[in-house]
Amino acid sequence: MNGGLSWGGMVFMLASWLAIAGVVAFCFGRILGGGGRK
Amino acid sequence: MTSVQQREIWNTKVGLVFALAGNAVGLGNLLRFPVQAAQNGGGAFMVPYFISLILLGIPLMWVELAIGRRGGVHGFGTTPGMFGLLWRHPMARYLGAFGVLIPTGLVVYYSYIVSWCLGYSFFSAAGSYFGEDTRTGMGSFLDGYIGVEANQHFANLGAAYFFFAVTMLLSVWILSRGVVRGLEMLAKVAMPVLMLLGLVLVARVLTLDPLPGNPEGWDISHGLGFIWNPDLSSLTSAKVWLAAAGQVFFTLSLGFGAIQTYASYIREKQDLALTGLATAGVNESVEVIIGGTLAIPAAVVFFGLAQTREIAEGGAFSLGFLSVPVVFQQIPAGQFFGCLWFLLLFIAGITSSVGMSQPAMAFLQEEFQISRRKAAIMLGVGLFILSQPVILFMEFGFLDEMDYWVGTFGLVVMALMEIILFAWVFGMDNAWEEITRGAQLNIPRVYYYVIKYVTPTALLVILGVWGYQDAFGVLMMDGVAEEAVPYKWGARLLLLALLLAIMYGIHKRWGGQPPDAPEHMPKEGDA
Repeated sequence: MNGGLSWGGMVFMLASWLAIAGVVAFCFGRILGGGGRK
Repeated sequence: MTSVQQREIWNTKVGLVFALAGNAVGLGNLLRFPVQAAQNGGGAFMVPYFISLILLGIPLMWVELAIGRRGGVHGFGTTPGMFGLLWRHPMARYLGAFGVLIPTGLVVYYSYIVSWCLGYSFFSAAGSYFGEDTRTGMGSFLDGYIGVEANQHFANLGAAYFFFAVTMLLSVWILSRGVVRGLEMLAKVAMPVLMLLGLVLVARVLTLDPLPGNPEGWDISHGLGFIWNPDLSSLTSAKVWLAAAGQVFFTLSLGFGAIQTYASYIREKQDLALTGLATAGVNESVEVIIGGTLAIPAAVVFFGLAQTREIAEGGAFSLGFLSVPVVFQQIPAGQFFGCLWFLLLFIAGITSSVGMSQPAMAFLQEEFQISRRKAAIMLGVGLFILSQPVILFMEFGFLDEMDYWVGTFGLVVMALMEIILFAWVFGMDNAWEEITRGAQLNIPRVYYYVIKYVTPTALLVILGVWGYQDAFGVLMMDGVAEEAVPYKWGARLLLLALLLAIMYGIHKRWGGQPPDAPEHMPKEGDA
């Protein structure tokens, strides 16, 4: 904890960011595109 | 909307998601989350956090949306009416009183805190606190603002009352405009602005230079490491799992009664599954991406790790109102960025406070046929009066006492009640049909069992542990200073009076009669 951002920390941070951004993109893609099951 | 025969409905799907996300995104996303992550294993905290989101947060979001949409179809915008549809027993509507008490009790003090953010945004722009460049100095500034002491900054509560009045007037104006022209319009403007402000501040924090003369060389990498470097041993700690579940619960505004009211303005066959997931996604992006990058990493750069640990232990308010303003005093254009930071908090707060006010609005309008404008004014005046003891007796813990019972313990009780009524009394087959009707997303069948077994069990565990660890001590006022005891009792009596008033309203409206067969109430635009 005393060093800077570790590789593990970076992996957790970027994976979290990407997962969230992916869910938002997926949902808004469907909402705006009107796709998906009725 | 003046009649239950024609309830308003959300105008667009995006507007609905933004409104629900605006309701969910609040001060906790930006202040509570980074503190919890830093204290509970850093990056490893995200493992129980995401698992809690999947097993507790998102299922409960769907449950609340489904209860709300069903209520709206039958002309009910609040949980007393909604619970009466789930359980054909007079008691059901009285249990539903908690879904009006909790958001109304919360907004009594939450709107006051939101008004601090507006005030501090102004003070940042004007440079009023510049010169108080230590946390102690900022503590004195805050004490002056909230009337704990008279000092060179504030002689009395005049400034606090001014910003509180502005916040209340703005809320009343938004509420009086109704669902589409008020809540939806606010969300469509506020959420993109909030995202933009957040991203500007994230860019600024990520490019912070280390302080000159900083022997340890603390920089932004240390700040991000403080939050994100994983402590994998924390995964075996029950405390960490409980903290993650609690954070997920707070952040999505579950157990408030407010999501149900918003959902009551959704069309009968409109999607809930995708809407719930999108709402959670927007909320998480503000919490994890923006909230996780701002306050704590910036504090590490300026205070170092040891002091930031102390700040985190001091809690969310100490971080937001005492520490971050010190940071702004040491960066170029600090007045501008300070103004943006508190404006960001204000926008996050006001979209939530109007959301918490809407159940009381719906209760007054629909059950007592009071016009929207009149209901908004009545609510605004009522909240202003009820908030007086919060403002005047803050130093005696009046706010903390209310916050514990309605803002912490009450939420879990409410969520547990609603999921038992929905999944077990109404029946899981009916519940599943309700959740999946019109879905634009195939919800995996495993959620049938998650909602029926896993989520209620998780809530029971949270309630049991919190009850054992905290509730009894809080109830018995362990460690409370002698002079604060009457004020704590005052806070409890205020909540009890509010609960009895809501129950009296339920009695007047329904007279304790068992619920009749639900009547279908068309909404605007329904075929």
